[in-house]
Amino acid sequence: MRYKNCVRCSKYIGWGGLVVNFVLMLMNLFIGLVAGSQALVVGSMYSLKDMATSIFVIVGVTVGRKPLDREHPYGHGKIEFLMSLVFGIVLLFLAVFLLYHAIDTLLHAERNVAPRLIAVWAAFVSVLAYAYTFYYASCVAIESNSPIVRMMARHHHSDAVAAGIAGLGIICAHLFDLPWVDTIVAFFEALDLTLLGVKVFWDSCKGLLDRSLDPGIRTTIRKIAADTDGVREVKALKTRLTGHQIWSDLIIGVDADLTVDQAHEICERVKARIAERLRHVGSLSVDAEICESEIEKNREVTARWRASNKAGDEAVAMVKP
Amino acid sequence: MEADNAIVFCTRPWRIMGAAVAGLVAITMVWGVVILTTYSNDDRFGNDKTLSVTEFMSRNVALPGSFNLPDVIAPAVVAIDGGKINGGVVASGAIVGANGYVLTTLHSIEGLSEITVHVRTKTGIQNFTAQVVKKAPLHDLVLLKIQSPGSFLYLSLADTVTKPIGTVYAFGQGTQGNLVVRQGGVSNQSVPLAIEALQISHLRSTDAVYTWEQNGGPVVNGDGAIVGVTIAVRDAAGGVRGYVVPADVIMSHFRDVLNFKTVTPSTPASVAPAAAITTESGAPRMVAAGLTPAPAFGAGPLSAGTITGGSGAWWIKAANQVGAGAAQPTGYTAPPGGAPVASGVSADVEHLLGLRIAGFAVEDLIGLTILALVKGVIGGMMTMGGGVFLVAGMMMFFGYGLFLIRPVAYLTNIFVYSASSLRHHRNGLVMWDEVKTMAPWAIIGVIIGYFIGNAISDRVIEVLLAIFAVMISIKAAHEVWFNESDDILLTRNGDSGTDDDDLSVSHESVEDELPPAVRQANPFSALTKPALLALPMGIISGILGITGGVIEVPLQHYIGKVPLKNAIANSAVLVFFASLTGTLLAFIHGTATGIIDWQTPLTLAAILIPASFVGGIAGAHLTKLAPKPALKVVFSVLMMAVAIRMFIGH
Repeated sequence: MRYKNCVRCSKYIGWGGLVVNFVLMLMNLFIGLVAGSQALVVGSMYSLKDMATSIFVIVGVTVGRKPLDREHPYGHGKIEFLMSLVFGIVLLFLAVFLLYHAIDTLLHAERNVAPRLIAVWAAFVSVLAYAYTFYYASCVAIESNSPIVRMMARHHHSDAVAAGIAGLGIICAHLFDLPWVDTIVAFFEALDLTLLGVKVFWDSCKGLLDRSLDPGIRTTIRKIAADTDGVREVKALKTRLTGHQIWSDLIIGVDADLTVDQAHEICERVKARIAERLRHVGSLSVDAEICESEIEKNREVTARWRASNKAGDEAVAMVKP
Repeated sequence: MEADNAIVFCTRPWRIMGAAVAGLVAITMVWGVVILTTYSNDDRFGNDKTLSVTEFMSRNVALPGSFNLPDVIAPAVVAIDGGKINGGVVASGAIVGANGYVLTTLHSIEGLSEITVHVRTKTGIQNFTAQVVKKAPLHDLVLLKIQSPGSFLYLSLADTVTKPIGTVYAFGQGTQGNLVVRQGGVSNQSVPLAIEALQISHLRSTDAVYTWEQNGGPVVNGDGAIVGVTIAVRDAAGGVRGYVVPADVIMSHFRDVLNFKTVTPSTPASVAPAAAITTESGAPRMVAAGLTPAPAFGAGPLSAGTITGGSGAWWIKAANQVGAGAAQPTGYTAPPGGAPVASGVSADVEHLLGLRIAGFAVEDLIGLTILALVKGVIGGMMTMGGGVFLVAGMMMFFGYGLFLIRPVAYLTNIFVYSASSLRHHRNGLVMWDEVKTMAPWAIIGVIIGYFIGNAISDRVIEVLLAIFAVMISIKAAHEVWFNESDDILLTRNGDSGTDDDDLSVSHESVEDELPPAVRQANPFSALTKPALLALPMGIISGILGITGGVIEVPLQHYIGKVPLKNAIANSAVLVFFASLTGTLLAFIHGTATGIIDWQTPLTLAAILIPASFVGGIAGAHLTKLAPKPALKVVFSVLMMAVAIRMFIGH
């Protein structure tokens, strides 16, 4: 954030990306259909994907960050999963359709016709446009250090590459009289999109089913908690994702002879340490219980006490008559 | 810690680069549009499914002239009947679009409740139902669309303006399913034809017509392109006289709804007239299948009963009329100076051949815009009648078929009513709980209505529209008479202090005066009440393509006991949902079953939507200025006029 424009740039880059991707999607779809280039049509689906990502980012920061209310005590973060689930299904359908179409065209040699040269031009314009937005997003990413913007820049980079490949494919189709090159490019792009669709679908399913986070992050959380002063052990850890935020329930074991006040303090310390060391923590609840070893000890004491009581009872019984 | 930034976008000439990229994108789009507009003459899209018969012929460079013209043209020549058993064929027709667009004469199909088209296919003659896309009463033409998603063999249109016509072949499909064709010539000059009140100008006379069965069929030149459509008329002597509506006139009438394929000047006229139909010593020769000329209708005793629909009556009219003025030229092949164009009739079509934008003649474009403007003004001022006016206007003045009008009307309403719903919502007038229970019923109603509308004929719909117009007219008159002028007037933006508000408040105060028990004691259950309130509107909207606000607002107000302002707001939201459903249904069902092409309604809606918007805003402002009772009287009279016009029909 060293320049006076940086604040404005980081504020509007989401909308800017949305507009650019929308325009490029329209252009590539339109030209792809007019020119008969499957690769360009599939390329437009990449723009669609980026557009959806931009929308998720925008919705994520507006709806997803809405404060908790009575109807939604766990927040509105799941809306992101819901949206990406729907988008994943749509993307999957589109990609599979395009994939099928590409295969169908490949299998019928007579249908392979080299696209019009306007397709090359459109691919070239797309490369320029994506390169432009890539540099812009990179600048914003460096200055704002935002991972989402960095991801956006990466997407623009890969889109530029995809458009470039499509353009090269069409040139090849004309130059070497290999009309099927365009279809081959379309095939691989569609395949890539299909896999992406599966991933988006699967990830949102996982999110909706409150699947635990990766073992790596879980170990980190455990370690941070266990290393906190006063924590004897981590008894249970539940994690899940709500939107991009980590929600976690933690049960730590503490010494049995602590006061409630002391235990509470330890819990607060654990929370503070985790929040310091991990990003995107949405909600964290830490409960303190008596640690297992103490419970064992207690059990032994109780058992002994019961046993002695029993003996005492028997003694009383014997005395009574 | 900030990484080294080697880019620093804002220090670079990013504006120039951005503008350059935007410019390139714009150029690409324009280029794409240019390609798209010329695609019909293009090899890429010209695969065998969209190639016209004419193009197919002109591409046969290996063996020019090897076709037998009747054989190749025959699949594009159809017969049309009223869909009744033993009803008989009423006319021939020509397929002019790959999606099953059929040209024929208007009088033939008038009064038919159902139109059936007989098409020659590989597996014999198949029957399809067809719908009217657009009527052109000025030249007795009609464009039909076959209800089928399939592709058809069709003909291109010839250039009749800059090129001489030469020898022609008038095709028709006989009553027995046999092909009727005769070779002949066409006059170079236009001739007028008067049949009772109907004055048809810009016709050419031809001697290639010998039987009424050729009526409505294509007149084709040696290249297989349509020169015109035949109008067969019986003269006083009982013989059949042929007229041709030339291709340029056809194109001018229907170019807004169909992208005709034309024979471009670059196409070489390589195909000589087929050897099989060359004339011997100049005498026209029959080349009908089986070589048996069908019995000429005009030759036998005339009996209208054998022809269904308006065709028979028209025939008698035409026969008498032409017979009366028997000074027609007999030598059809271009008599120099013969058959002068009647003055006064020709002027009405001159514009059709003039400047065009997106397939629309400028006058048509202006006409449609005015129609939408008036519709918007009516809607904005009266909150009723706008839809009826639009649908009736498109039917009566422009001749569009209802199948085309409904998607256009729905689409227009989505835009107009989303804006007005939003405005009502911002003013807090929409009762969302009520709307939530009613919206499903409105949607169901539209779906039911849409299919009812598909099933009943255009004539029934005209009558229904007329009834509606009468209702609206009476309602407006009633309001004037009993001086409850603002009963239905929409308050603008919910501003307080305007006189409308005061009056509306009085309605609400009536509501408030009712004891709560009366208001809550509702005779309807939770399910039947919303159904009763919303279903009729949906069905009417589905059948006619109008919004149905005229019954929805009173229903909610008087039966649903909803305050008037809220009733108006609620019905605006309901209309929005209904229109959305209608649009989706009409486009999906319409394109899937081949009733409509998706492009045509979109083009029309693109003209109507902005004009409706502007009209609506103007109407809302005009209400303030104009004296209201006078306005209502004018409106009432206008609606009555529309109603009468619809009752009469064509």
